Amino acid sequence: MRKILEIIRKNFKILMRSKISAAIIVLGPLVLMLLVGAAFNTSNIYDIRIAAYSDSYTNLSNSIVDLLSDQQFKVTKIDNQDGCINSVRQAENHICVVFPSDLSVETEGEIQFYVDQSRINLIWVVIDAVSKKVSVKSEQISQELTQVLVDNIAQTKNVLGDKTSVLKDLTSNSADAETKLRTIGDGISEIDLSSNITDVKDLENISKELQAEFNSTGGNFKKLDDLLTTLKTQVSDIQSKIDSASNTLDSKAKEISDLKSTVSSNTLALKGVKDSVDSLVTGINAIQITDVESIVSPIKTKVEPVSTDKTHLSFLFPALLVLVIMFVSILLASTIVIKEKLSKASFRNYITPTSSLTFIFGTYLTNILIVIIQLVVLFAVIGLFFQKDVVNTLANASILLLIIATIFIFIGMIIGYAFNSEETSTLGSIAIGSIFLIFSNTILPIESIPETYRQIFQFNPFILSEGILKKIMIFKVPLLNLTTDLYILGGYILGLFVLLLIVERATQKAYLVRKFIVKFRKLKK
Amino acid sequence: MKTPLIEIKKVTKIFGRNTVLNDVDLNIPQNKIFGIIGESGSGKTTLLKSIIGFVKPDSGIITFEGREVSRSMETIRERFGFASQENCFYPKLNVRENLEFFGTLYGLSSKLIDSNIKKLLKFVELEDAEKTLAENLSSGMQRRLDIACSLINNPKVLIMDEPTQDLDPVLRKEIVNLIRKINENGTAVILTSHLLFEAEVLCDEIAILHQGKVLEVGTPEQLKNMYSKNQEIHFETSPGRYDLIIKQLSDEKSIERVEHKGNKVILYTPKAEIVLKKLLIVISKMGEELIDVDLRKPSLNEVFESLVSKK
Repeated sequence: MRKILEIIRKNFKILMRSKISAAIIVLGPLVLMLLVGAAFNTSNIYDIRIAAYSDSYTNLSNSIVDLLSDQQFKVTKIDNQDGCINSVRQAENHICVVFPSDLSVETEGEIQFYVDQSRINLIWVVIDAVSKKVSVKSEQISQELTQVLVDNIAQTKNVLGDKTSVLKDLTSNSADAETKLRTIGDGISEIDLSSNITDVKDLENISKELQAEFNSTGGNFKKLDDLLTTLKTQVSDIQSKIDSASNTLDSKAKEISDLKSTVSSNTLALKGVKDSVDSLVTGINAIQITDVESIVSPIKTKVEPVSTDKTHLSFLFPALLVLVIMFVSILLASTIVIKEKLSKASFRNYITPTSSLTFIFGTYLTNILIVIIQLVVLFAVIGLFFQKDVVNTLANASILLLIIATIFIFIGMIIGYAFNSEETSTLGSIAIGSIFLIFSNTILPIESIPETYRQIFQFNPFILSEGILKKIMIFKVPLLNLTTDLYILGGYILGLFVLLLIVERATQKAYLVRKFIVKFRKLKK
Repeated sequence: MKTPLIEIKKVTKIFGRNTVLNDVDLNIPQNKIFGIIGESGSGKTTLLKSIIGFVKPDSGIITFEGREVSRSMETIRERFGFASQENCFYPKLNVRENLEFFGTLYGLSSKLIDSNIKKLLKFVELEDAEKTLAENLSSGMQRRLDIACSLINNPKVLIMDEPTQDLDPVLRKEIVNLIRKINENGTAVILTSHLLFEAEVLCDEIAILHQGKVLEVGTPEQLKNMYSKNQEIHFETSPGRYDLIIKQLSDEKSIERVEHKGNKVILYTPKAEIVLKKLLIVISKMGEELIDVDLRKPSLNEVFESLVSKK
């Protein structure tokens, strides 16, 4: 233990006596946090520059431009479309909005956004911000149009409601008329114009018979005969009229029958119309949502943050913290190891009765102590100037931070042992750190990586560390609920420690011997 | 005969195509200053690093006090001190901090470290520089600090690889004296050097290494007697008509070689007394004024050249 403490003491003295190293260790994270804190302690996006172009602006396109020209966006109208697009290429503007000529609700043209997709981290923010503004106008127009439709439907409903009773009366009247016509027809058909005097000849026969009787009696039949003749004529007239009336009746009965059919079909048609109107009214009545806003946006969305933090710094803080720990740990550990390895004193260390494990622990503890110092400075700065509540999460986070730092320190130490010059070691450290950073969620979402690679990169220690730290710092999840994540990180530590031992054994003495052989060969030459 | 401190038996070490040590047999005695001399690349450093177990021989055995080195690494590390060609300490630590650090790595108690530091600082004369950063020390002081670091564990054997390399003559003398003092305190010293005159005056025994092979081992006197019969007559006259003097001596066949060195001339001969008499007569006859005359034994350099040229 004394040896380990002495190694730590020695490492600290050497680091502190190298002014640049000391400055980097103490001031590096401090400056970084101050800058990042000041820069990202807000949720706004500043200075988005928009270029706008249209062959001919309309009230609608102008109103969209006005909407965009709020404090967040600076809109410049450009004279031609190519100029507008080029201004994005030349990074003068972030986005070029091309409005179709004579943009109106009636025209079918679409608004085109030209974006510089190489600014991949910014572009979705800009598109989102601009689209939001445009969609505000779009929604406003949509609401106006829908309002007209809704009003017309409401008016139709009222009119139909009013006319339904008329239709009902009409149907009823028609039915009545039909009934009446049926009654008339029935009445007509019941008129019996038949007579017992079926034939005038019967009267002649009766007259002849009477005449014969009168002749037999010698009475004066002539007067009766005249009377009978008159009667016969009158009966014949009546018969003729009755026949005529009968014919007329038949004809009218047919007409009534036709009329009845017509009325009947009209009644049916009216009933159909009434049913349709009733159905329409029922349909319109069945429309429960008549609120325009609800029709335009039937599904309302509201993004509710799962944490109470509001600034970019809050969301960035875990990633930033892991970033600082990662680069500091990897670079520091690799630098300390490679400096020790290249140091002329390393040969003397090697020939002392001190195991390499003692040196490994001494180096690790030196690094972890430096990281702790840096984290204390870092949390103090953040707590004092930016986020007071960040200190509250420290109790949970501190253990985790040490675990994370351990992983990256081991990686840095492996790099230090594996390389044979300070330059290559530093390059190796930066390369490894950059790979971890690039294939994390910080620059691009990991979901944008193909599945196979994603499966691999989800075990990126940066992603794991950031994820678990986020859970603790932003969502305030207790450490005990994160056992799976902790097991993975623990596995990392174990694996890296074994690898560290292997690399140290394979390289430390080999390096000294190789250095000696190279020198020997130079002498031989 | 005393048991040797270190026994090296048939040790061979090959780096790639280079046979650095070739069947080396060597016994290093107790409590002596043992020098290994040879040209650069002759395998001196490899031999030293094999002794402390840093380089593992491909064949052969090295034992320390009868125990095989490769099997007693812990003991070797505790009982050996090593001062390599380069200074092995931390430039950003001060003198005391360096000594404390290495003392702790040797597992010494704080009390022992303190007392050792006190003694060592006095010994290497760095008392006034105790709090000075190692990087701010002069090169001689840095060398002394490195030696102090090698002695912090009171080693039984101190191995020094080219301890005077790159030092100016004054600093070299300083270090040579220091090595003597270390040895006088009971620590066996094994050192390598390619500066033969330095090894000659410093070492009790010397091994000559050439192309990975030990050519000869012995005291400087033994080596000189074995490989050089000649003595050297160094003389200086005025006005210094050396060509004429040499011509007068031309009948003396025992003079094997004549060398001009500055204002002096050196005559190499196995019959030094006869030649010296003749020389004095010639000088007198010629009316030359004798400024300086000196009869010397041959140097180790000559022995070395003689041995190497035979190979």
